[in-house]
Amino acid sequence: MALLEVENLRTYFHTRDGIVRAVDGVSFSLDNGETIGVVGESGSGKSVTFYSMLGLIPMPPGRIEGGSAKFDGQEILHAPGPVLQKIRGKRIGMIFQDPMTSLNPYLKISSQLIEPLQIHENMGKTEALKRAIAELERVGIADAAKRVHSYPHEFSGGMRQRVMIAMALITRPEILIADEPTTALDVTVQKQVMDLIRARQKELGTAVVLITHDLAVVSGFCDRVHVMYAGRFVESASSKELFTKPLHAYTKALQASIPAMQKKGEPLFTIPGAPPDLSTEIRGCAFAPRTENHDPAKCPPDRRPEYKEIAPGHWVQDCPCCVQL
Amino acid sequence: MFRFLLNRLLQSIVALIAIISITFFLARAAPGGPFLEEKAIPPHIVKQMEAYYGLDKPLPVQWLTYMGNFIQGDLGPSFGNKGYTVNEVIAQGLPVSLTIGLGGLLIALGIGVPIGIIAAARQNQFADYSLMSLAMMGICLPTFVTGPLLSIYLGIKFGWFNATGWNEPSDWFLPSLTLGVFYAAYIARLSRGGILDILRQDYVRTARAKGVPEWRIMVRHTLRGGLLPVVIYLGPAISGLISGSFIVENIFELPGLGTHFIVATTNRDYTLILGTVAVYAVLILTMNFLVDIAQVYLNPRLRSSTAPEKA
Amino acid sequence: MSDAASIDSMPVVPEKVEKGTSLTRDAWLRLQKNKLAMICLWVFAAIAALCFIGPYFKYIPGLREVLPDPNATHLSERSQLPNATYLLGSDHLGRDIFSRVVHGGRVSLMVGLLATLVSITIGVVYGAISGYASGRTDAVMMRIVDILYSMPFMIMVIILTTMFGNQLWLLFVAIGAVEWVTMARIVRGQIMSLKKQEFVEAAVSLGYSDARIIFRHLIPNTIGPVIVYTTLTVPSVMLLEAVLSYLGLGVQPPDSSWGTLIKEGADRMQSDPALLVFPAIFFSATLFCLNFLGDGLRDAFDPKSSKD
Repeated sequence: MALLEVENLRTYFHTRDGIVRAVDGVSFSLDNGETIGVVGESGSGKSVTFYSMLGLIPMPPGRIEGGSAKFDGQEILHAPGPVLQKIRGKRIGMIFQDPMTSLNPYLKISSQLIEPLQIHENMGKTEALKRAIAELERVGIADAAKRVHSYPHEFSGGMRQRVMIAMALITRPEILIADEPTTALDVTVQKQVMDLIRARQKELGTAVVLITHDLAVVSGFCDRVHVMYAGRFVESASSKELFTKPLHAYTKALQASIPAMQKKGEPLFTIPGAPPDLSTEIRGCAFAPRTENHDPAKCPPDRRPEYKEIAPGHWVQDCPCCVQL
Repeated sequence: MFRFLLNRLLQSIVALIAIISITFFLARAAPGGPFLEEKAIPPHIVKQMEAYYGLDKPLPVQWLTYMGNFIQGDLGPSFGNKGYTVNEVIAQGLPVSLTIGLGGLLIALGIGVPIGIIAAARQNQFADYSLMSLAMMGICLPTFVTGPLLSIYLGIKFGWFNATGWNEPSDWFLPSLTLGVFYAAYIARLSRGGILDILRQDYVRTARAKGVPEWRIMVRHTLRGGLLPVVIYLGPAISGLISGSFIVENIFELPGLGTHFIVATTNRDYTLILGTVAVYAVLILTMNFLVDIAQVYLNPRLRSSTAPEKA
Repeated sequence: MSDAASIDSMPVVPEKVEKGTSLTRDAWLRLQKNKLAMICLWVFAAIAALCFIGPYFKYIPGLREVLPDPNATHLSERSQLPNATYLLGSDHLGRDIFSRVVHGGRVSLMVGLLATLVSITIGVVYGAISGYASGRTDAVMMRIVDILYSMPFMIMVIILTTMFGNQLWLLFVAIGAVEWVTMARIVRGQIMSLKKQEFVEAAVSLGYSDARIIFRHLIPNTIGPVIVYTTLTVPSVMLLEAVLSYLGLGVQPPDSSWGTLIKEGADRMQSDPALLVFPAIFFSATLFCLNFLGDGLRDAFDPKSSKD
């Protein structure tokens, strides 16, 4: 049995301007120690998928409309607050995009670091502080015993992200969800942070979910990659297969827009158009309007393409105009 | 940080001198004088009295003399209250005003902050809407409406308190309540807004992701930043409480500093006007200074930088 | 919706905005969705219309009886309860309370609006110049504002009005001088951020004068916060006027404002509560509407800061 099993998750936001179908039927599973990537543009629903599972979206306006999510065999969708609180920060750790704003500027690093231990393990302050210092050393912060008493603003962006990683892993969680962990960082620091996550994962055997808009980050890092668009997965395969044999036009377009893969001197490739407005129901294929192959005759406008396993372990939204074998 | 506070202190002293000087020249520029109203006094006696009090000297000289005495804590004789010095009048009125002002502030914080916290925690729910409508009503009911109502109902109709006067220990309550209700409403709105601002921050999401229970998020992660606007507001609130005390002392017929001040302005009692204004200015500036210190204390980011964010 | 926006990859909801809608029009459309704010707008408009048009009813036969001379005494008809002749009853001198409230409201609203206009004008110009100048000029101008901010203004206003007589114009000036400081700060902040945008650079590179850039390009772009803060200044000015009038330092008889009426009412409230209650209701309702309208406008101009 997989560690995390999600079936047909749907999360909608009921706003004044209509219902936004942020996550509209997502299924996947995650095994112990596995690393998966979820790739998509901002607004594709990749963060909401995981936030809603863990009860981290504001409700209202957010609402989980259906599906199931089993963590270690236990259904966590619609689980009462206290149940989720015991899982969050204890068995599932999270790090976020912007380390500048994700740490509380009013509290010392020390008190933020030891908080998970105090809450989940009823650990005393002195012991927790020892653990915190050790954890800081493990994420590569020099002079940890002294710096643990600093405030966040005394740390650089990369250092803060290290602190976030230490804080997320201090309880030895089974899953680490990393939501765009390098997007807000300098390019030079990005690799260090990714290497750090990798190294800590190896030591602890944690399963990692990497949420990113950057296909390049995912390539060497993940075992399996899910590409998300307009609230659904459009393609999913092992990392290797997805890079060598992408099927869906959106995956190809994402790949084409990685700057390093383009020829020098040519204008950067960008995907034409904008993601669809999710506050109106999408009838046909969500990506069809943005692909050059779009042919209304081939592409039924009244039903969404089926998500099918086309090759072993390779799933794709079977839209006649977007998928070319 | 110490440079910043020193800067603020110097600025306060400049402001104090400015306030006293402006009041000094403003009062003198106005037509009329302390002795002109009393027609019974013959002109040469007025002259004599003016000479006695030094009112015949050139204005800048009078100003220098006044400032010199002020530094030594001597505010001069009161023209309106014969036989009393300004220091004595203030010593009598200030405790009254301070008591009701402080009482008002405590009531305002005691009611306002909890209401703000509850409303923020129950954002967009029934409790939020009803508490905030109540607060808005409180803001729109000025002290001169609530004061008489409280005086009549709690004072005369129910007889729980004295409707007016300053004789019994419990006499501070109605005036303070009148002052406090208005500010409670304002503080409730401020604290709700401040807390909601913090609840929207990324680091609150981090705390939730750590599995921190909601009450602990409120207490440990939110209140400190969320109540900062309230702390900052305490500075201007003092000015407001002072002008509120004019009204409240009028309604409840209290022998406070505000009453003395209003009487002094109508009597052209120059020294008493200046004295009361100086006391008010010191109160306001001290409070602003304390707020600055509190702000630096509460916000670690300010401790290493030089200037606080302005409200 | 803005709560959800804190999740950075919230689905983007493209704003459904018609082409060419200006900031103000856009805000107006949003405001119309806010029922409470709209009710407040209409109630305030009704009160204002009544107070400004009402005093002319005496020239119109048929309406004359609704709003008789507010100062005409009818000693035989003292302290009446509301009835067909006296819509809100009559006071201890047999004067029509409704008519007195309407006439008092005209003075209160006029003071409120005019003094606000004075303070907004000063504040906008001062703040715009300070924000545009930046550097040392800005530092000095803002230091002055800081010092003014810590001044006990109410006290100054009281000294001014008692010592220089109770002319109404002085009241405008005094209140206007008090209230501009916050506006100056708000506008300065706006201008500072606007200044960094390309259209200002474009204007500079076109060789426009500083005055033209400030008044034609920058100030019009601060319209949102200015409208919001204006709406919130009017009630605070009206409150200030009422405080002064209550203390007998503001509007003087035979003129009356809501402040003086409330004072009269408070003095006789034991024998005749209507004298306090009716002006207080009108006064509080006006403040209530303006404050809620201001809140609504703030949300409308800055949807991100909205409460839900």
